[in-house]
Amino acid sequence: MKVRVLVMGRSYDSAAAWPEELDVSEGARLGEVLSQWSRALGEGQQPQNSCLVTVSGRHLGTWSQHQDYELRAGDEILLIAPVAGG
Amino acid sequence: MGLSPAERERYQRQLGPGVLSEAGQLQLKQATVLITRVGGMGGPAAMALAMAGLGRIIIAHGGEFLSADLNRQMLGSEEIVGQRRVDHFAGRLRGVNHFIEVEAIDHEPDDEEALSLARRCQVILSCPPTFGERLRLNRAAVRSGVPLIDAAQWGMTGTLTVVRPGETACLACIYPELPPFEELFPVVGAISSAIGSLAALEAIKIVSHTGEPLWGKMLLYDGYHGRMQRVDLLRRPACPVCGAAAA
Repeated sequence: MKVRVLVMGRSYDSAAAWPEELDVSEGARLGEVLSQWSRALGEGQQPQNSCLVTVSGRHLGTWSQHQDYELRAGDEILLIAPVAGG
Repeated sequence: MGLSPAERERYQRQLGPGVLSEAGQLQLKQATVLITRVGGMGGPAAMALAMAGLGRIIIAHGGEFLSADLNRQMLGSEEIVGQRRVDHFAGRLRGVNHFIEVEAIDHEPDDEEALSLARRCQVILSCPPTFGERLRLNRAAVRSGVPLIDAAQWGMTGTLTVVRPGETACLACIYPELPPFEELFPVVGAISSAIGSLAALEAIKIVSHTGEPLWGKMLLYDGYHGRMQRVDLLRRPACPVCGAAAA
């Protein structure tokens, strides 16, 4: 099945070349998919641990600390690199 | 004390179905808001709240105004480059609405002062450049039970997070580890004013009990790609600020 991965927030420019769609097995868990996605990135392109992780509009934690979740076809994983800026 | 005839005339375009009731406008008049800081986002937010008739606006922002601030800080002007900014900013706000009061603080409040200010407010707008300052305002908001609206920006993107203490995720729930700080972050002023204006709209809705505030949600706008998202934020039971252990 296919899931979409979007990056928003601070890293949107460098993330332009990152993969936006992944082929994953039925019943894939969020952690496995994030690892698969991470392996597809180049060296020095890994998301920060503080990146928020959401699936189809539901916040599940951060890149380094998130809830487990069984993905379904069509799910959209959104990675949010936190922004501040005044 | 109700609205005067002159105030009714001033606010007539925002009174009525789908906008504010007279009771809501009166709640704005009687409210106090803290905005820190009043740069790219806090400035437009303060201006929108002043124009809307929010009765007392406390702004906090230290330092002198820089030429490079003029790409986004709409309360500034060429004339104040090199000068202490907060007094000028307060003057700009008073200049658009003589019915309101504006207090100016020329520094970023520490924990004690932030809590003291929060206890005087109905809502806090968090618009500083560092996560450290944002988390400080979050602590003050949670301890005082005052709603917090966090506005943030980078480049052509921005986020808006609305916290209802004790009921929704707070900033410490969603940022369990401090994200990196980038002092000279890139930013286009158009996103600053857009996010600042949305923050003000949330404050108006909360104070006047109008519409549906974005409680417990993060709104993201990626202007670079033209994408918008809304996320339901997860409250962490073990949060050191709003979790069970904190109570």
